Amino acid sequence: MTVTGTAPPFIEAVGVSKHFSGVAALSDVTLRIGAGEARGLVGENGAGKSTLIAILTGALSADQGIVRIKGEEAHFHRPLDALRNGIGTVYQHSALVPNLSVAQNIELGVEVTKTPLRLLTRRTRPETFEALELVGAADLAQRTVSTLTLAQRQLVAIARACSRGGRMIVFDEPTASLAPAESRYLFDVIGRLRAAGIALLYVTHRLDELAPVVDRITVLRAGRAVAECPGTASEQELVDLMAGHEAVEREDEIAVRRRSTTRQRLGGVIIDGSGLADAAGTFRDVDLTVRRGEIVALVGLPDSGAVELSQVIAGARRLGVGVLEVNGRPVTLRSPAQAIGRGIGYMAGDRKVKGVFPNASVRETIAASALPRVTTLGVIRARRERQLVADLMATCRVSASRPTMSITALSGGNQQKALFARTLAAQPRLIVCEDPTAGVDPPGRGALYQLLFDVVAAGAAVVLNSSDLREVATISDRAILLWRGSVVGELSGDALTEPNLMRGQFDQAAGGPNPAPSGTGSAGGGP
Amino acid sequence: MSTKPKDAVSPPVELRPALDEAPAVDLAGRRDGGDTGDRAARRGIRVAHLSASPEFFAFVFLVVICAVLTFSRSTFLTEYNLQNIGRQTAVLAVLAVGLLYVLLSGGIDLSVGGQVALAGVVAASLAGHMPVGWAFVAAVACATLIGVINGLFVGVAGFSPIIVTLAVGQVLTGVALVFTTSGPIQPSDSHYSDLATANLGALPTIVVAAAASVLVAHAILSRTSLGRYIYSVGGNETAAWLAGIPTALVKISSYTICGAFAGFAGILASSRIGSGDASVGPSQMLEAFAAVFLGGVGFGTARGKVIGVVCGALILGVISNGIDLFQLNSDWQYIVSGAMILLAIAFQVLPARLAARRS
Repeated sequence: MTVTGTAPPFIEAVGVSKHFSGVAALSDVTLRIGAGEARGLVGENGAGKSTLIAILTGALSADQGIVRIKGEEAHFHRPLDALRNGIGTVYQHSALVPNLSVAQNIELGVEVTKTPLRLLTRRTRPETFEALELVGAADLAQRTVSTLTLAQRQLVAIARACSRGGRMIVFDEPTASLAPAESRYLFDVIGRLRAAGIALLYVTHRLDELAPVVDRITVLRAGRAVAECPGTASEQELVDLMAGHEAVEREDEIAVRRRSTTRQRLGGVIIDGSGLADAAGTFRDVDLTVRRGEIVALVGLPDSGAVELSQVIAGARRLGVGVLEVNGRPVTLRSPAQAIGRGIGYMAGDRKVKGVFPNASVRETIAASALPRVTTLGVIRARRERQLVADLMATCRVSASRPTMSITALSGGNQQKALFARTLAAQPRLIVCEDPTAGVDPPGRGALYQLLFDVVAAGAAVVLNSSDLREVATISDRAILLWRGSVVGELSGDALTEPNLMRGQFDQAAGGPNPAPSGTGSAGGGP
Repeated sequence: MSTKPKDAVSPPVELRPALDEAPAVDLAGRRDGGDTGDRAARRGIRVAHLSASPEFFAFVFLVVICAVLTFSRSTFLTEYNLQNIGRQTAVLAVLAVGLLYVLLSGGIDLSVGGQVALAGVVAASLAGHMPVGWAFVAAVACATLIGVINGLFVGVAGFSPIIVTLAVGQVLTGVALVFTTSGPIQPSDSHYSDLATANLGALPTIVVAAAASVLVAHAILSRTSLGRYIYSVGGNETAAWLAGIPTALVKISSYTICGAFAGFAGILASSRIGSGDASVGPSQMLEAFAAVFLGGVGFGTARGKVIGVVCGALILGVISNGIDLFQLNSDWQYIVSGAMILLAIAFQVLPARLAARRS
């Protein structure tokens, strides 16, 4: 079906919906991108960006709706189908084979699809050079991928996407780990791709970089495409659209109410670190104090050392230099087990990789860190274990039909609550948590926030590490800003807002001379 | 904040009581509902769960094979023949249960063949110089020590288990062969074979010994924190470490237990043949792996139970016996057990695949 008069857009997704175990990740999303058009795609964590990308690139298939390429209906069952239709993807961490050369990586798979058994030629194809030239990286052709920087790898990934008849490239957070100069170069390349008539879908959290790169911006919220704005839309407009007005107001309210009580909650010092640095030097010379009753966020880009700092506190990473005192006593933590022994619990991010035992039941998961509490001479007392887990499931509102069901059968939010229960089971006085609500739906998120509030109300402390800045603004009492391994500022009270956090993160990245905004006081500015 | 001494569980830090208070009522209500209302429903779930488990498939397999043999061979269901199967299976079951520990912890042990060979040779060599019982203890201790060494290589040094245990196994088999260059070692003690030939009532002693060790293995896996830790480390080592589980110690323990069981299997085997023979190791090892996989243990999934492994060993024992009863060439054993393993894995994987496709 062709629209009369005009050529159909390069790609057209109409009424696309996708559900995961009953929960809608995308509902009725329509998106059209013309050849040579650069489209921005923004939305909060869990808004459905990843799902939409996965459908457009063949990694998932939609429950409802159709995808048309140049007006013709296309059915993608696997990534190869999308590739054959000229759709390539560039991820934050490019999927290249590290031990092959750049040219070999670009040609990888081409020979397979044509004549499987033909011998590989040693000569690099001219198309490969052309693609590398387009991204200005022709001199890299014979280098081994493992010797390249992250930015260079991304150029290679782009060249790879173009080299096989790529007509559209999806960029999934391409600048998340790039230095500013590298990002600027990437934007030049993107300009060249547009001039070459390639359609682009550009997904990012960094709203400030959209304007120079894209023509139009699609905003997703809770699985729906809520707006299509021009590329020049202001950051504030986009943030409002992404969050929805009411949501922002409600969460602002929570934040204000919570911070008005910070001062009453504050207790003695739990963590006192001075001159901290890890062995690899990802952060240096950091001083940090955490007191009972507060939620302290460590905020920074992936290379800021914020995650590494929290891992050091949790015993999951070795301290290189400096003194870390827990409850007034200097400690050396060699493992999370030792940290647990000192009353520090750790809820790591990425629950699939670092949290869940896929072969365990809900009960086994929750009891894992607290087995010494329910064993006699190494033998598990079944009744005590049942009691402990039942208590914790109630406390953390884990809804599972039976405690013996597999942990992997729970929804993301419930898995996360179960992992929180596991952390609580060891009776920590400090909880270090990374991205506690990643992939959790809004109700589940609220429940997890409430748990964190309960924990600090009971006199424990929380060190929060979250890439979701609105979460940081909503639930933390204090935010410490890190940039390239050093503390560059601290926000608290009224100054602790999402825009300020974002500025604190990116002003440094843009190379601005001003240091991050300073807080309104050591803690609890309150109205 | 009030401190209420709730139970014998360790003294609560300040955090717990405050968190406990509100939901305690809710909790009690929920538990009552669970116990009175839908007990039948829960039983239904449990039966459905059971029938989907790989152990259940292994058990059904075993029953079917036994039924076929009972109806086709009148000699199958006789006391003499059943004792025979028991003796044949005992060694295999013990060795396979040891392997289970290592597989559940996410590793693999290719040195158990060498451990079996070495334990047999050590026991047979020492039997003339000390009471047979002590010779057996020394042989098991020897294999256990090898297990500790494997565990240190894998758990502490971080070497790849498949490479380390392959190498250790080669060395052990080599040592056992060097000791027996002039043929299998004939122990100078006439009681050496008693363990394998004597009976306790109607049951062969060797079966009782194997059953006892298997029960201990089951208890450790299902009732102790070590058992729970083994499953956790095999399921997700990173998550286990971050949750405070001493992963290195858990791995060392699983290889050590595997070594102890391999040593025990070694003396049982040696007692059966009445000598210390280095050549029994390798074939026993392959059969033990077959038993483990027949018993529904996944490779790299850390799923599996002792009961399944015992069923797996019994299936192999019964098949081998059936081949004897039909007076077939014993080489058929390999073909049949290989086919059985393929069938078993098909039964485990395909239903899940089909279910995934349907949803």
